[in-house]
Amino acid sequence: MSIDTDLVATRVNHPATVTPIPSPKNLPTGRIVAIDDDPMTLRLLDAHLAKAGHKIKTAENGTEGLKLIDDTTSVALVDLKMPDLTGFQVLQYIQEHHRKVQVIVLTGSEETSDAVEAMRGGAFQFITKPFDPNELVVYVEKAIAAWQVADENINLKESHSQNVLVRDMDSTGDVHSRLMQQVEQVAALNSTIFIGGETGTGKSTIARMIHQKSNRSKGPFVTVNCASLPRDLIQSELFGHTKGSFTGAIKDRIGHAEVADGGTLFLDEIGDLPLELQPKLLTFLQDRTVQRLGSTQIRKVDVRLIAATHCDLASMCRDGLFRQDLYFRLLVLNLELPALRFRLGELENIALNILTGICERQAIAMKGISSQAMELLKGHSWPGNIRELENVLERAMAFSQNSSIQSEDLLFSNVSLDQRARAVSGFENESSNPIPANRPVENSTRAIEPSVQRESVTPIRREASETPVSQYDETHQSSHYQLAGKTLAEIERDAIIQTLEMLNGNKAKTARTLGISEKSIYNKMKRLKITS
Amino acid sequence: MSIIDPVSLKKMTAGDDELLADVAVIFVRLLPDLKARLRIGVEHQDAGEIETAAHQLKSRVSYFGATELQQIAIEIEAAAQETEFGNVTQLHDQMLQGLDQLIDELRSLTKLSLDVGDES
Repeated sequence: MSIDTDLVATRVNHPATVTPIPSPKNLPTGRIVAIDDDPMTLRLLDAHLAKAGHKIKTAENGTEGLKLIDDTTSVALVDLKMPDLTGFQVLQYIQEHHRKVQVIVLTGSEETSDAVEAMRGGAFQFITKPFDPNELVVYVEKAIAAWQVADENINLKESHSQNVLVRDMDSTGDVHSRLMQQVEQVAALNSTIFIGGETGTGKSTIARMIHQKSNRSKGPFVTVNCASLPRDLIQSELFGHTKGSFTGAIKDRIGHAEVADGGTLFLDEIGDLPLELQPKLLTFLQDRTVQRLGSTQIRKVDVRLIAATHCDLASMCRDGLFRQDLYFRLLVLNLELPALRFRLGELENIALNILTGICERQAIAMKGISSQAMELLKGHSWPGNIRELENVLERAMAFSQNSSIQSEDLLFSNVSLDQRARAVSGFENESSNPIPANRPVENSTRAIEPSVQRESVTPIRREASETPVSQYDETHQSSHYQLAGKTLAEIERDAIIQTLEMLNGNKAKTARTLGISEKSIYNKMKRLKITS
Repeated sequence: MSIIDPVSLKKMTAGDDELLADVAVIFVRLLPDLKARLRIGVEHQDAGEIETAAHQLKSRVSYFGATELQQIAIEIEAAAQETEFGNVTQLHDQMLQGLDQLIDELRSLTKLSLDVGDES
């Protein structure tokens, strides 16, 4: 059984209509890696794929599975729910490190949101358990065919100029061409880059473009969205952890900062980074060192940082919500992306460029935009910026029954999305009308001068830096467990936590191992404030 | 009435008796742990334990075409996700009965003893 989403439909046929595609002869088919914490699933995958003539290796967790993936791997079958790394994390790692490998997400979840997230994350297909063995083999063979094409494409791209990679934002116009020029300039440097701009202005695309144009382009590009990470996991996600450093840390795990070694770490929505974690990031920026949660070992990494946010960080500094020292560390080179409403002169080119991209991705005939529809597009305020324009055009392409998009095909949102839209934008301070398109970018790349810093930001409250990072961080700094000096309650608590971790959170086994009843373990966990 | 759907099972194992035996042995080997997690979760209304166990059971029984048991697992998982424990005990009992029947049927199909160990 597979979930059919719009995204899926653009890449593969519906299962009912799939027919086996024979791999081109004389082309390598690569090796398949299956990663799933369920031994039954692995046994079945192994049997069916081996029977179809494929080479397969299996792993029961994400960490071990990633070790199996190399240049000979064509397809990875990845479960979503696993004890150490989630399927999404494995998918992201593969996307960053082995971009040719086609990932098929295999899961017991039938949540459409999971399917959409997986496909947006670059998965080739999303299949729910119990899988149909015949369909599985068909999808795997389609994925192998895609891997073979990707292999050829990457070789071709590498033999061409890097301009090929600028495709996503390749429109004409003063703002755009100046922006591209600045991207070229900053990409050649190794400095930290801060990208500001409203939601949907293309900050992530620009960050990736800078990476691809830099001399780090062969290294990983790792994206961390600070807004989407659970607050209590963000330190572990960024800097990693050691086994036993907190409840649920059942294995050592490297963080995104280490994964990005040799490449670029892109911290999106940096304004959402909790205040108590900001000193850690500051240390990382100053020393380029990483200390995993619960470890005393300090590791040096070679990472370029790009940070982005839609928030007004200067204002957040004034309000004590963002550290001033970190703010200045980040604003070495600043790119400010103008909102789409200030680029209306370029809107036609941008829209046509987006349409071309949609048609290429979906392998459908190109459509134009009628003059009335274009007028409507130009009259919209675009609170969601380029992302909103992409959505409007993709929806219009889907529903349009003419050779060009008409006014009635356009559906707009009237929601104002961004605090920044009316706040600190220097563009609007000068005029309520759209300003000349080249204006915002003229000064958009600059080194921040000390005088400017002093004028724009007032000191923040000092207690922020004195806040303990986390209770676990301190209690697990030492790799040697010391009994002396601890209270009995602390020892009891640590014993329960570590046993739970050792037994994958299994409370029944934990109770037996510790020689207490199941009821007691629940009572003790409650009393000692141990969460599952 | 059989709890295993023979058509689904044949498709899943491609009619390979050796594969069926392997999968059945793995299922039985892993079952005590899952049953323990489910039981303790139900007894203590621990949504996390219940959800984890039900989620894994859901996948595993589905490979045998045991749709009735799969549905019970789905209901238990959903109840845990919503922390609605009203009928979880009843569903748990149904699940245990269904699992016993499933193992009996697997014994019959594989000619193996398939001894289920104690809950770990």
